[in-house]
Amino acid sequence: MNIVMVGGRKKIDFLAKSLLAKKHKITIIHDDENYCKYLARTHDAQVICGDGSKSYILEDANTQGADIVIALTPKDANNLVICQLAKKVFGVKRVFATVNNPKNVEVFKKLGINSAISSTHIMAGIIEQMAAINEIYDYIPIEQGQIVMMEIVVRGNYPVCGKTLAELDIPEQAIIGCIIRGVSSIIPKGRTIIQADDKLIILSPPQVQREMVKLIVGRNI
Amino acid sequence: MKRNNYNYIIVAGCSRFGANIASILSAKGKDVVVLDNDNLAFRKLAPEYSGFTIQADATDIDELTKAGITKADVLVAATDDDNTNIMIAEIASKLFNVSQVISRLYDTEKEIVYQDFNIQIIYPSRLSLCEFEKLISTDMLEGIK
Repeated sequence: MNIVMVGGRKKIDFLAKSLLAKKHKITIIHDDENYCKYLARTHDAQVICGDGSKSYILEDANTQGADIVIALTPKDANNLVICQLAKKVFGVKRVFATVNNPKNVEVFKKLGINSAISSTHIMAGIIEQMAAINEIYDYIPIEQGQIVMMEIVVRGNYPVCGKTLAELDIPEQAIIGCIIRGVSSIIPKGRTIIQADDKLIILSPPQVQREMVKLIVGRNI
Repeated sequence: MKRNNYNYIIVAGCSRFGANIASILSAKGKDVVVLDNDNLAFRKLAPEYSGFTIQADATDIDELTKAGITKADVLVAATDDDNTNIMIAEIASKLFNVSQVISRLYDTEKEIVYQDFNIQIIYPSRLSLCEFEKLISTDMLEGIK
Protein backbone atom coordinates (compact mmCIF):
# COMPACT_ATOMS: atom_id res chain seq x y z
CA MET A 1 0.00 0.00 0.00
CA ASN A 2 1.06 3.58 -0.55
CA ILE A 3 1.25 5.40 2.75
CA VAL A 4 1.95 9.08 3.36
CA MET A 5 3.06 10.05 6.86
CA VAL A 6 3.39 13.58 8.19
CA GLY A 7 5.37 14.88 11.17
CA GLY A 8 6.17 13.34 14.50
CA ARG A 9 9.65 12.32 15.57
CA LYS A 10 10.03 9.01 17.40
CA LYS A 11 6.56 7.99 16.29
CA ILE A 12 7.27 8.40 12.58
CA ASP A 13 10.69 6.78 12.90
CA PHE A 14 9.22 3.72 14.57
CA LEU A 15 6.17 3.50 12.35
CA ALA A 16 8.22 3.92 9.17
CA LYS A 17 10.45 1.05 10.17
CA SER A 18 7.56 -1.22 10.99
CA LEU A 19 5.61 -0.37 7.81
CA LEU A 20 8.65 -0.77 5.57
CA ALA A 21 9.29 -4.17 7.10
CA LYS A 22 5.77 -5.11 5.96
CA LYS A 23 6.68 -4.04 2.40
CA HIS A 24 4.53 -0.94 2.24
CA LYS A 25 5.62 1.98 0.11
CA ILE A 26 5.91 5.06 2.26
CA THR A 27 6.45 8.77 1.81
CA ILE A 28 7.40 10.93 4.77
CA ILE A 29 6.73 14.64 5.15
CA HIS A 30 8.49 16.48 7.95
CA ASP A 31 9.11 20.15 8.61
CA ASP A 32 12.50 19.80 10.31
CA GLU A 33 15.26 19.69 7.72
CA ASN A 34 17.81 17.95 9.93
CA TYR A 35 15.33 15.31 10.95
CA CYS A 36 14.43 14.82 7.28
CA LYS A 37 18.08 14.09 6.56
CA TYR A 38 18.14 11.57 9.36
CA LEU A 39 14.94 9.89 8.12
CA ALA A 40 16.22 9.77 4.54
CA ARG A 41 19.44 8.17 5.75
CA THR A 42 17.74 5.61 7.93
CA HIS A 43 14.76 4.52 5.86
CA ASP A 44 14.22 3.43 2.32
CA ALA A 45 11.50 5.98 1.76
CA GLN A 46 10.88 9.20 -0.07
CA VAL A 47 11.31 12.09 2.36
CA ILE A 48 9.90 15.56 1.71
CA CYS A 49 10.81 18.53 3.83
CA GLY A 50 7.96 20.97 4.37
CA ASP A 51 4.67 21.81 6.05
CA GLY A 52 2.38 18.83 5.53
CA SER A 53 -0.73 20.95 5.96
CA LYS A 54 -0.02 22.72 2.65
CA SER A 55 -1.67 21.31 -0.46
CA TYR A 56 1.41 21.68 -2.63
CA ILE A 57 3.56 19.71 -0.22
CA LEU A 58 0.96 16.95 -0.10
CA GLU A 59 0.90 17.05 -3.89
CA ASP A 60 4.69 16.65 -4.01
CA ALA A 61 4.28 13.60 -1.80
CA ASN A 62 1.91 12.11 -4.37
CA THR A 63 -0.96 12.05 -1.92
CA GLN A 64 -3.52 11.59 -4.71
CA GLY A 65 -2.19 8.07 -5.18
CA ALA A 66 -2.01 7.22 -1.49
CA ASP A 67 -4.12 4.56 0.18
CA ILE A 68 -3.53 5.86 3.68
CA VAL A 69 -2.47 9.20 5.14
CA ILE A 70 -1.22 9.32 8.72
CA ALA A 71 -0.89 12.67 10.54
CA LEU A 72 1.45 12.54 13.52
CA THR A 73 2.37 16.18 14.13
CA PRO A 74 2.38 17.41 17.74
CA LYS A 75 -0.36 19.96 17.04
CA ASP A 76 -3.92 18.71 16.82
CA ALA A 77 -5.05 21.54 14.53
CA ASN A 78 -2.36 20.64 12.00
CA ASN A 79 -3.38 17.00 12.05
CA LEU A 80 -7.01 17.96 11.49
CA VAL A 81 -6.17 20.08 8.45
CA ILE A 82 -3.82 17.43 7.02
CA CYS A 83 -6.56 14.81 7.26
CA GLN A 84 -9.23 17.08 5.82
CA LEU A 85 -7.03 18.12 2.90
CA ALA A 86 -6.13 14.50 2.22
CA LYS A 87 -9.80 13.55 2.13
CA LYS A 88 -11.27 16.55 0.39
CA VAL A 89 -8.54 17.54 -2.06
CA PHE A 90 -6.86 14.24 -2.76
CA GLY A 91 -9.73 11.81 -2.21
CA VAL A 92 -7.77 9.60 0.19
CA LYS A 93 -10.14 7.04 1.70
CA ARG A 94 -8.34 6.24 4.92
CA VAL A 95 -6.79 8.88 7.12
CA PHE A 96 -5.40 8.53 10.62
CA ALA A 97 -4.45 11.22 13.10
CA THR A 98 -2.90 11.20 16.50
CA VAL A 99 -4.27 13.77 18.92
CA ASN A 100 -2.61 15.16 22.02
CA ASN A 101 -5.72 16.34 23.76
CA PRO A 102 -7.78 13.20 24.47
CA LYS A 103 -10.99 15.24 24.16
CA ASN A 104 -10.21 15.78 20.50
CA VAL A 105 -10.92 12.16 19.62
CA GLU A 106 -14.62 13.04 19.83
CA VAL A 107 -14.10 16.43 18.19
CA PHE A 108 -12.32 14.89 15.21
CA LYS A 109 -15.07 12.32 14.84
CA LYS A 110 -17.70 15.04 14.64
CA LEU A 111 -15.60 16.87 12.07
CA GLY A 112 -15.48 13.82 9.83
CA ILE A 113 -12.16 12.25 10.87
CA ASN A 114 -13.21 8.93 12.34
CA SER A 115 -9.87 7.48 13.18
CA ALA A 116 -8.23 9.81 15.65
CA ILE A 117 -5.96 8.10 18.11
CA SER A 118 -5.03 9.53 21.47
CA SER A 119 -2.04 7.88 23.03
CA THR A 120 -2.93 9.45 26.38
CA HIS A 121 -6.35 7.86 26.17
CA ILE A 122 -5.04 4.41 25.32
CA MET A 123 -2.21 4.58 27.83
CA ALA A 124 -4.48 5.69 30.65
CA GLY A 125 -6.79 2.76 29.95
CA ILE A 126 -3.97 0.24 29.94
CA ILE A 127 -2.29 1.57 33.06
CA GLU A 128 -5.60 1.68 34.91
CA GLN A 129 -6.29 -1.95 34.06
CA MET A 130 -2.81 -3.24 34.79
CA ALA A 131 -2.63 -1.36 38.05
CA ALA A 132 -6.04 -2.58 39.19
CA ILE A 133 -5.53 -6.21 38.37
CA ASN A 134 -2.15 -7.76 39.00
CA GLU A 135 -2.81 -10.87 37.02
CA ILE A 136 -3.44 -9.10 33.73
CA TYR A 137 -0.26 -8.96 31.72
CA ASP A 138 -1.57 -7.31 28.64
CA TYR A 139 -4.70 -5.47 27.84
CA ILE A 140 -5.96 -4.12 24.53
CA PRO A 141 -9.26 -2.29 24.16
CA ILE A 142 -10.93 -2.91 20.80
CA GLU A 143 -13.63 -0.78 19.15
CA GLN A 144 -13.36 2.10 21.65
CA GLY A 145 -13.28 -0.32 24.56
CA GLN A 146 -16.51 -2.17 23.74
CA ILE A 147 -14.49 -5.37 23.67
CA VAL A 148 -11.25 -5.94 25.52
CA MET A 149 -8.52 -8.44 24.92
CA MET A 150 -6.55 -9.43 28.00
CA GLU A 151 -3.74 -11.79 28.65
CA ILE A 152 -3.55 -13.73 31.93
CA VAL A 153 -0.72 -16.03 32.96
CA VAL A 154 -1.94 -19.10 34.84
CA ARG A 155 -0.16 -19.86 38.13
CA GLY A 156 -0.02 -23.32 39.67
CA ASN A 157 -2.37 -22.36 42.51
CA TYR A 158 -5.19 -21.11 40.28
CA PRO A 159 -8.37 -23.18 40.35
CA VAL A 160 -8.43 -23.56 36.56
CA CYS A 161 -5.14 -25.43 36.56
CA GLY A 162 -5.54 -28.97 35.22
CA LYS A 163 -9.13 -28.44 34.13
CA THR A 164 -10.50 -28.65 30.61
CA LEU A 165 -12.27 -25.65 29.12
CA ALA A 166 -15.53 -27.58 29.09
CA GLU A 167 -15.36 -27.92 32.87
CA LEU A 168 -15.10 -24.17 33.37
CA ASP A 169 -18.16 -22.07 33.81
CA ILE A 170 -17.14 -19.42 31.28
CA PRO A 171 -19.64 -16.56 30.98
CA GLU A 172 -21.74 -16.49 27.82
CA GLN A 173 -20.11 -13.39 26.35
CA ALA A 174 -16.48 -14.27 27.01
CA ILE A 175 -14.14 -16.58 25.17
CA ILE A 176 -10.64 -17.92 25.71
CA GLY A 177 -9.46 -17.41 22.16
CA CYS A 178 -5.94 -18.71 22.41
CA ILE A 179 -3.54 -20.35 24.82
CA ILE A 180 0.16 -19.57 24.55
CA ARG A 181 2.16 -22.48 25.93
CA GLY A 182 5.90 -21.96 25.70
CA VAL A 183 6.60 -21.25 22.06
CA SER A 184 3.46 -22.83 20.65
CA SER A 185 0.03 -21.31 20.48
CA ILE A 186 -3.07 -23.43 20.82
CA ILE A 187 -6.56 -22.57 19.65
CA PRO A 188 -8.38 -24.29 22.51
CA LYS A 189 -11.30 -26.69 22.17
CA GLY A 190 -13.52 -27.97 24.99
CA ARG A 191 -11.10 -30.82 25.70
CA THR A 192 -8.01 -28.61 26.02
CA ILE A 193 -6.53 -28.78 29.51
CA ILE A 194 -5.19 -25.59 31.08
CA GLN A 195 -1.72 -25.95 32.58
CA ALA A 196 0.41 -23.78 34.83
CA ASP A 197 2.35 -21.05 33.00
CA ASP A 198 -0.15 -21.00 30.15
CA LYS A 199 -0.95 -17.56 28.83
CA LEU A 200 -4.66 -17.23 28.24
CA ILE A 201 -5.82 -14.71 25.65
CA ILE A 202 -9.34 -13.73 26.59
CA LEU A 203 -11.86 -11.68 24.61
CA SER A 204 -14.82 -10.22 26.43
CA PRO A 205 -16.82 -7.05 26.92
CA PRO A 206 -15.50 -5.07 29.92
CA GLN A 207 -18.58 -5.91 32.01
CA VAL A 208 -17.73 -9.59 32.30
CA GLN A 209 -14.00 -9.02 32.52
CA ARG A 210 -13.98 -9.15 36.32
CA GLU A 211 -16.06 -12.31 36.34
CA MET A 212 -13.56 -13.94 33.99
CA VAL A 213 -10.58 -12.95 36.12
CA LYS A 214 -12.32 -14.27 39.21
CA LEU A 215 -13.02 -17.57 37.46
CA ILE A 216 -9.38 -18.02 36.50
CA VAL A 217 -7.63 -16.55 39.52
CA GLY A 218 -10.12 -17.90 42.03
CA ARG A 219 -10.64 -14.78 44.10
CA ASN A 220 -12.29 -11.46 43.86
CA ILE A 221 -10.38 -8.52 42.48
CA MET B 1 -28.95 41.28 4.45
CA LYS B 2 -28.08 43.25 7.51
CA ARG B 3 -27.74 41.74 10.94
CA ASN B 4 -27.34 43.87 13.95
CA ASN B 5 -28.98 41.60 16.46
CA TYR B 6 -25.76 39.90 17.53
CA ASN B 7 -24.66 40.64 21.05
CA TYR B 8 -22.26 38.04 22.32
CA ILE B 9 -19.03 37.67 20.40
CA ILE B 10 -16.09 35.35 20.98
CA VAL B 11 -12.78 36.36 19.42
CA ALA B 12 -10.33 33.45 19.33
CA GLY B 13 -6.79 34.74 19.10
CA CYS B 14 -5.71 38.18 20.28
CA SER B 15 -3.73 38.99 17.14
CA ARG B 16 -3.58 42.58 15.90
CA PHE B 17 -6.67 41.72 13.85
CA GLY B 18 -8.48 40.01 16.72
CA ALA B 19 -7.61 42.73 19.22
CA ASN B 20 -8.92 45.46 16.93
CA ILE B 21 -12.17 43.65 16.26
CA ALA B 22 -12.64 43.06 19.97
CA SER B 23 -11.91 46.70 20.81
CA ILE B 24 -14.31 48.04 18.17
CA LEU B 25 -17.14 45.72 19.13
CA SER B 26 -16.63 46.40 22.80
CA ALA B 27 -16.79 50.16 22.11
CA LYS B 28 -20.11 49.53 20.35
CA GLY B 29 -21.46 48.05 23.58
CA LYS B 30 -21.37 44.37 22.59
CA ASP B 31 -20.36 41.60 25.00
CA VAL B 32 -16.96 40.42 23.87
CA VAL B 33 -14.71 37.62 25.10
CA VAL B 34 -11.17 37.28 23.77
CA LEU B 35 -9.19 34.07 24.12
CA ASP B 36 -5.48 33.70 23.64
CA ASN B 37 -2.82 31.28 24.79
CA ASP B 38 -0.47 34.12 25.58
CA ASN B 39 -1.36 36.49 28.38
CA LEU B 40 0.85 39.23 26.94
CA ALA B 41 -1.17 39.31 23.72
CA PHE B 42 -3.97 41.09 25.57
CA ARG B 43 -1.79 44.22 25.68
CA LYS B 44 -2.86 44.86 22.10
CA LEU B 45 -6.44 45.54 23.21
CA ALA B 46 -7.51 49.17 23.38
CA PRO B 47 -7.21 50.68 26.89
CA GLU B 48 -10.96 51.26 27.05
CA TYR B 49 -11.76 47.63 26.13
CA SER B 50 -14.36 46.48 28.63
CA GLY B 51 -14.93 42.87 27.62
CA PHE B 52 -13.44 39.68 29.07
CA THR B 53 -10.06 38.17 28.38
CA ILE B 54 -9.36 34.50 28.99
CA GLN B 55 -5.94 32.93 28.77
CA ALA B 56 -6.71 29.57 27.22
CA ASP B 57 -6.28 27.33 24.22
CA ALA B 58 -9.26 28.11 21.99
CA THR B 59 -9.09 24.72 20.25
CA ASP B 60 -10.06 23.08 23.53
CA ILE B 61 -13.81 22.47 23.66
CA ASP B 62 -13.94 22.82 27.43
CA GLU B 63 -12.29 26.23 27.30
CA LEU B 64 -14.72 27.34 24.62
CA THR B 65 -17.61 26.15 26.74
CA LYS B 66 -16.25 28.12 29.68
CA ALA B 67 -16.03 31.18 27.44
CA GLY B 68 -19.77 30.78 26.84
CA ILE B 69 -19.75 29.57 23.26
CA THR B 70 -23.18 28.01 23.65
CA LYS B 71 -24.74 31.46 23.88
CA ALA B 72 -22.42 33.19 21.40
CA ASP B 73 -23.93 34.75 18.27
CA VAL B 74 -20.63 35.29 16.50
CA LEU B 75 -17.24 33.63 16.67
CA VAL B 76 -14.19 35.07 14.97
CA ALA B 77 -11.20 32.77 14.48
CA ALA B 78 -8.40 35.32 14.39
CA THR B 79 -5.21 33.54 15.44
CA ASP B 80 -2.07 33.86 13.34
CA ASP B 81 -2.16 30.22 12.39
CA ASP B 82 -4.43 28.98 9.57
CA ASN B 83 -4.76 25.46 10.89
CA THR B 84 -5.71 26.66 14.35
CA ASN B 85 -8.32 28.98 12.83
CA ILE B 86 -9.74 26.12 10.79
CA MET B 87 -10.04 23.90 13.84
CA ILE B 88 -11.65 26.59 15.99
CA ALA B 89 -14.08 27.65 13.27
CA GLU B 90 -15.13 24.08 12.50
CA ILE B 91 -15.65 23.30 16.18
CA ALA B 92 -17.74 26.45 16.65
CA SER B 93 -19.84 25.81 13.58
CA LYS B 94 -20.33 22.06 13.76
CA LEU B 95 -20.17 21.20 17.45
CA PHE B 96 -21.68 24.32 18.97
CA ASN B 97 -23.87 25.55 16.10
CA VAL B 98 -22.73 29.16 16.45
CA SER B 99 -24.88 31.01 13.90
CA GLN B 100 -22.15 33.16 12.44
CA VAL B 101 -18.58 31.93 12.27
CA ILE B 102 -15.90 34.03 10.62
CA SER B 103 -12.39 32.79 10.03
CA ARG B 104 -9.25 34.43 8.85
CA LEU B 105 -7.38 32.33 6.31
CA TYR B 106 -4.07 33.31 4.74
CA ASP B 107 -3.61 30.28 2.53
CA THR B 108 -6.32 30.35 -0.14
CA GLU B 109 -5.54 26.75 -1.06
CA LYS B 110 -6.98 25.66 2.26
CA GLU B 111 -10.46 27.10 1.67
CA ILE B 112 -11.58 23.71 0.37
CA VAL B 113 -11.64 22.27 3.89
CA TYR B 114 -14.44 24.71 4.70
CA GLN B 115 -16.64 23.59 1.80
CA ASP B 116 -19.15 21.60 3.85
CA PHE B 117 -19.31 24.18 6.60
CA ASN B 118 -21.30 27.34 7.09
CA ILE B 119 -18.25 29.49 7.74
CA GLN B 120 -17.42 32.92 6.32
CA ILE B 121 -13.82 33.52 5.36
CA ILE B 122 -11.64 36.60 5.34
CA TYR B 123 -8.64 36.26 3.03
CA PRO B 124 -5.93 38.81 3.94
CA SER B 125 -3.86 37.78 0.92
CA ARG B 126 -6.75 38.36 -1.48
CA LEU B 127 -7.65 41.68 0.16
CA SER B 128 -4.06 42.87 -0.15
CA LEU B 129 -4.08 41.88 -3.78
CA CYS B 130 -7.28 43.85 -4.43
CA GLU B 131 -5.82 46.85 -2.69
CA PHE B 132 -2.62 46.52 -4.67
CA GLU B 133 -4.51 46.43 -7.94
CA LYS B 134 -6.47 49.50 -6.92
CA LEU B 135 -3.27 51.41 -6.09
CA ILE B 136 -1.59 50.34 -9.31
CA SER B 137 -4.55 51.36 -11.45
CA THR B 138 -4.98 54.81 -9.83
CA ASP B 139 -1.26 55.45 -10.21
CA MET B 140 -1.52 54.60 -13.87
CA LEU B 141 -4.55 56.90 -14.27
CA GLU B 142 -2.57 59.73 -12.69
CA GLY B 143 0.22 59.00 -15.10
CA ILE B 144 -2.17 59.49 -18.01
CA LYS B 145 -3.28 62.89 -16.69
